[in-house]
Amino acid sequence: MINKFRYLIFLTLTTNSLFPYLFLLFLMCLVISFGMLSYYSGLFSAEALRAEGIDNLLGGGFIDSFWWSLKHVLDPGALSENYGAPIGVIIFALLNSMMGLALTGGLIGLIVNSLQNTLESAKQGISSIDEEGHLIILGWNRKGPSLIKQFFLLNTTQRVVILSGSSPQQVKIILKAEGVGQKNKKILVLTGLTTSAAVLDRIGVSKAAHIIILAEGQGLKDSYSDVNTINSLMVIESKLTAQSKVHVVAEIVNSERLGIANIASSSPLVCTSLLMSRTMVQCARNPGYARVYSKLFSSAEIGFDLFSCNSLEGTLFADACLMITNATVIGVSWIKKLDDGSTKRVTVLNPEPDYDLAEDDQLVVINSRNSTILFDPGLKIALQEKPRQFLDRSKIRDVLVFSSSPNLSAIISELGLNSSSQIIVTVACRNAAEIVSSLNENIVLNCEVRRSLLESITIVPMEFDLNRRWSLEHFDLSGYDSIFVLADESESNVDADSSTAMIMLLLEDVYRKVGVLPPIVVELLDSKTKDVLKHSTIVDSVISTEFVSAILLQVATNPFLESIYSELISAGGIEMGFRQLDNYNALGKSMDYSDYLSHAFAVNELIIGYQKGDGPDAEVILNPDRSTFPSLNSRDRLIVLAQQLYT
Amino acid sequence: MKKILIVEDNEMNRDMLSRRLLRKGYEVKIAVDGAEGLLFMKEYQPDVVLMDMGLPVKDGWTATAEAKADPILRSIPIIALTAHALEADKVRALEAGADDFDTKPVNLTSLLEKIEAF
Repeated sequence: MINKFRYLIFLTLTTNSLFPYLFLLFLMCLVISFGMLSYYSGLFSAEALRAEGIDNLLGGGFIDSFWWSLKHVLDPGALSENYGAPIGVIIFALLNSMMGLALTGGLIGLIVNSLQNTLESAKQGISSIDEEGHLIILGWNRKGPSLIKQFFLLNTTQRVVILSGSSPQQVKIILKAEGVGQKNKKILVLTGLTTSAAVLDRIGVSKAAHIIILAEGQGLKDSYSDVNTINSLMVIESKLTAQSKVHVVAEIVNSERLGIANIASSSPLVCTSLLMSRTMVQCARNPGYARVYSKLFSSAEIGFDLFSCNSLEGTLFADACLMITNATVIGVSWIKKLDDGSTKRVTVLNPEPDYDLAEDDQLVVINSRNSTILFDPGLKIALQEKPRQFLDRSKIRDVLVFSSSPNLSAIISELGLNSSSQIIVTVACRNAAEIVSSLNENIVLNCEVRRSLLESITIVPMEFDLNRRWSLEHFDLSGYDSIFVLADESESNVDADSSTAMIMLLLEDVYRKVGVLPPIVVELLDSKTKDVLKHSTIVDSVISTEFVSAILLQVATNPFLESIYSELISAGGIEMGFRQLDNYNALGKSMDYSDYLSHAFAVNELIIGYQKGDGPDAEVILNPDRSTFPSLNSRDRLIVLAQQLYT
Repeated sequence: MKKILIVEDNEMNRDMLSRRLLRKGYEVKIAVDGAEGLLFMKEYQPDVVLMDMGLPVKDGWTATAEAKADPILRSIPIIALTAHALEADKVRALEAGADDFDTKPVNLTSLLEKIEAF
């Protein structure tokens, strides 16, 4: 019986948060009632009334007894005021005060405990938040700090809510180390399951402005979890209504899971391995592209916008490009009705110059952030007819890749897709033979989609272990067309960027002795490591996770940009290009912006900017000011969008 | 009005070409690779096929050759489209059985003339 009662008390105490207080109140009533029994031991006798602490102002009945007992329960000091009272009263006073002390102690303990719990919840990040129009980051990895840094560069007042499986303290320490600590007033770090509907409700997913889902994990060692990302996408999708204006973008690490992720959600997806591999291959094929990409995808400088063409119906695309005077038109966009009755935004870059705009078309422009687009309908371009120009496809046939990375398979496939001839990829890393064998299997799987890929790629293993060999002197590097140095996260005790920096030092050493090296493209995980390579004379392009963060953020704020980015960095279709002035017969001629545009349109190309000078000091200008468009010389290049025509 | 089947893997290229043709009053159907192109040719019986050559799964040359070997499909005119505009590419497309050839990006006026010729 007693055990059952004890269990009942335990159950109620642990399951009902109000019960401990009610129980204490009940005990207090019992103790007070007990104290009131002192009435029968002469509490209001003449002898007792001589004591300072005993009064019978209301007639020495029930209320005076209650007051006397209550005073002793709540104030232990009241005991001393019974001096001179009968011994029975003093005993009651003593017992009452002692029980009161215990009860007050219990009450204070409960209150302190409750406060501690609230503080602990806040520290652990399991509290609810009441926000609207905020940015939610679900999941946490290396891209997080750079994502937040770039978000604050947009001068936004929105709050950032981070929900991940990592401990909030750990996330806060990382943010502080990355220099985003001072903005912490706007950052709420919470912990919890990113796939739980209840947890997502708690952080207000349906009221957020943007949601970015990062893949939880740390590279090869803990392999990133696309499964969680896809689950989160499904839960979010179920929370959003047709009226919701939340922009959701998710990071998918493995391109093979993109198909499943696309079924799970209609939100734009950014595939990290595809993005990194495509960008690196484009940079290897076209030295100098990294500079343009970093400008184009930088959140702070360049913005993408849509300009409605209601008044431009029937106007040629080429004329519209000239009419917009302070922004650079790069394409057209419209809402397409699909067979199932739904709609989809379609964006096309660099349409034919003679494309006549429809009423529902919108022009896609790049402009300076927060500027108003200016429009002069009186301007017209003189279109010219020119024979088509064909470019030599950049000849990357022999590639050396240092280190194994999760992106290696995607990079090799991308090299195959970009090459019209046989390509040999040498993979130099620890356990090279084993890694190459697994890569070959992977490519065989991919080749169900692209059969020609398998025939065009040969992967050769080359054993290279930084733990054993600290020299590249025995390697003949002159025969390669390009060298990739990838971030290797396979060793838990060696930082990937440190290995990369070490390989770069070895390559620098070779360069000093030999005097020539092919273009080198480097992948970094931490953008701060860029500073280490700043003075390197051999690095052509550095691609870091900062780049992926920038794209995730841009797509979260402008979902239509996803198709633009993927088109710009993929093989085929519309690509970016550098053009020398003699491509347009413009060398030595005095030309203004509209002349350059006209020459470019004649060969179906669209100018988006220029590069002044060449080499490491070259400066890239995108969306140039028309009125101050400089006179270009033979060292300068125009940056264009083009449907590349290869011989 | 003619029914046109566009077989093109690049989303932007097919969106733009289909929009321009739709606005000219054509009925347009889209396939994204050579195998789907052959399937839609059977199902949809288009008046003209605009076939990109560098396609995934089954490339345009193979799809064109298979269509021309098929007694039901061989009468459907195929215009080959490619960004590789050398004479050799043209010869290869015509050898595969294409009825005409054009380069990308398309010159709409010239393409419409070729479509209307069938």
